Amino acid sequence: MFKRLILTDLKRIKTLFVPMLIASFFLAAIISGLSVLSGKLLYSKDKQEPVDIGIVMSADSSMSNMAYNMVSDMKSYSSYTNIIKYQDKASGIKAVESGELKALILVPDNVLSSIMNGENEPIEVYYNQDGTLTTYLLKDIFVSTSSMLGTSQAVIYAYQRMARSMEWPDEVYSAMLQEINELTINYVLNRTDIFAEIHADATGVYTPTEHYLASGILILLSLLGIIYISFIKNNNRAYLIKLKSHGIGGVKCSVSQMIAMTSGLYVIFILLYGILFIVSRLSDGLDISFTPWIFLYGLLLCLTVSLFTLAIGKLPVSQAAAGLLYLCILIALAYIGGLLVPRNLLPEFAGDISGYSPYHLLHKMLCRCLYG
Amino acid sequence: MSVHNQSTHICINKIYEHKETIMFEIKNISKSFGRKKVLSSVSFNVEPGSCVGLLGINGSGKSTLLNILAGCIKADSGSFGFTGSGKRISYLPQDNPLIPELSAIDNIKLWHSGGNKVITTEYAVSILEKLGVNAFLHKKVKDMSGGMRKRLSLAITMMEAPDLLLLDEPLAALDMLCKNGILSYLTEYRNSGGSIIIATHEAAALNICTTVNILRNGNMTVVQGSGSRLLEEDYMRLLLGKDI
Repeated sequence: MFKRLILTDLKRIKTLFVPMLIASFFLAAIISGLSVLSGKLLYSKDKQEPVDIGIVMSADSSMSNMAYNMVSDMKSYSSYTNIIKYQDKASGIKAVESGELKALILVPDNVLSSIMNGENEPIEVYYNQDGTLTTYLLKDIFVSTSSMLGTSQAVIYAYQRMARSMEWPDEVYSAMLQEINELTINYVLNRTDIFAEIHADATGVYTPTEHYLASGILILLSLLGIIYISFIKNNNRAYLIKLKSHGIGGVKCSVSQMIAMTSGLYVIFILLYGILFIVSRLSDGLDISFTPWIFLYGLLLCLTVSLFTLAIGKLPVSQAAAGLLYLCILIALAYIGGLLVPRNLLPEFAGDISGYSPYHLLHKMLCRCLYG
Repeated sequence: MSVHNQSTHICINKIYEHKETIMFEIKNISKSFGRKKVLSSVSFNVEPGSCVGLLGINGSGKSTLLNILAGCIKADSGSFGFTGSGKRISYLPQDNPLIPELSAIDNIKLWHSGGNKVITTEYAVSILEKLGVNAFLHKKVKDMSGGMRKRLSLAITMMEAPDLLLLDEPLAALDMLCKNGILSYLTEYRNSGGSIIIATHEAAALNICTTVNILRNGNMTVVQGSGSRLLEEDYMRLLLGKDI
């Protein structure tokens, strides 16, 4: 009788398979879209605009223009600043006052020679007094850049003194001085470009897309559990009484339902994994690895979802109430498990318990299976 | 529905011809739910080829007694069982024990044990023909009428080839045609040696009863003779224990 009950429950699950498949693909389409956009959604990259900085310098000063071109060509500066040339000081200051510019740099005509000669002609910088973080950061950048230039200036002076004490001929002395100047300035300015750039995302070792794809699979399979609530709730009392008269009590009935639900979910999981694997082989954006562990993991995941569905489905409430309760608990667990918001971005209280959440563990295991 | 099929009749007789001596005994069954005493030392026997009617107002304990006999709930005290071996009881609860999303044939397969030697394919087919279920074998239960569902429910109950059939309100909310069809089948089953305990409010169902037991305040009053004889008497007085 128990075997026949399992077969019958499998038939019942089969009747739910088509709506589940349609729901799966509908949800998969939404989740895939969100996964691809997850990086932008997390960090709002569209809002990261470069800061406008004005510069006033003499057009006929070749040394100043050389320095300007060098700085504006540097990747580190060009990524967060737009350096705009102004012909005169008055129009530049007006732009700062109106908020068009965050800062204005006034470069004296003889700036480089004065630095080299130790005269230290001051470079005036006008800041916009808007009190934003950007303005404070700009001030710090200018101060640190000045410090770097000061260091290089000290090196140049040291070499100059050494060269004078050697009493070399004037042409040798001038050539050496020129070479030292260029080398030192180049090294100092290029120093900012040689830092290794490593992205550290809130999603840890996985990219936001990878993180949310795994989250999507977990949420999708869990949401399908709501469809199964009807399978549990549709057993009328007479049916259960008759089962009991055949020695099939609540435990055996639940085991049979678990087997049927797990089988249905497992088929969906394998289909999803298969589609993802094929897509990853056909496209460059996604790298899904193959491991036999995925089959065991799938079984564990489907068993967990079935158990969760069974627990909610057996509550003595209506089907609609059970569905709503299921959804609420699922969202709460998914949030605490770091599926909706990465663990690093969770509030402290949620972050503390996140490690013990079943969804966190399932997500971690799924990421390992999917991405190696 | 009431068409007599010769081969079906022979088939049913074949199953019950060796069980003439089997008797079902119910001794001193008591059951309480909390402080409420539902059954108090209920005792009666069911002979082969007899139909025992259970009468009583709502909440008098008819369904509880049937649930106890079917093994769904335990009695506080008392015993029941067949005097012979090879016993089988089949129970049809008040509502239809069907799975709505499956077809009639899938519902039948759940309860029809292919491994039981007594239940032959010929027997199963005869039940379906007799109850007219073969006309909608592939129809889903959710698309069936109330009459179809009840006939299917009775068919799956009969699939177990029971020696004793426990029926809880089998004629409730059915039209006359359907009632007659089911009663005709139950009469044939009883005449072929099968035993029935039927809980009912229907006067029509009492006509097939050989004995009627009236449950009142947990106690049982036995009215010997056919159910139709009871109809002639003032059975409201018997049910309520007082004149209205």
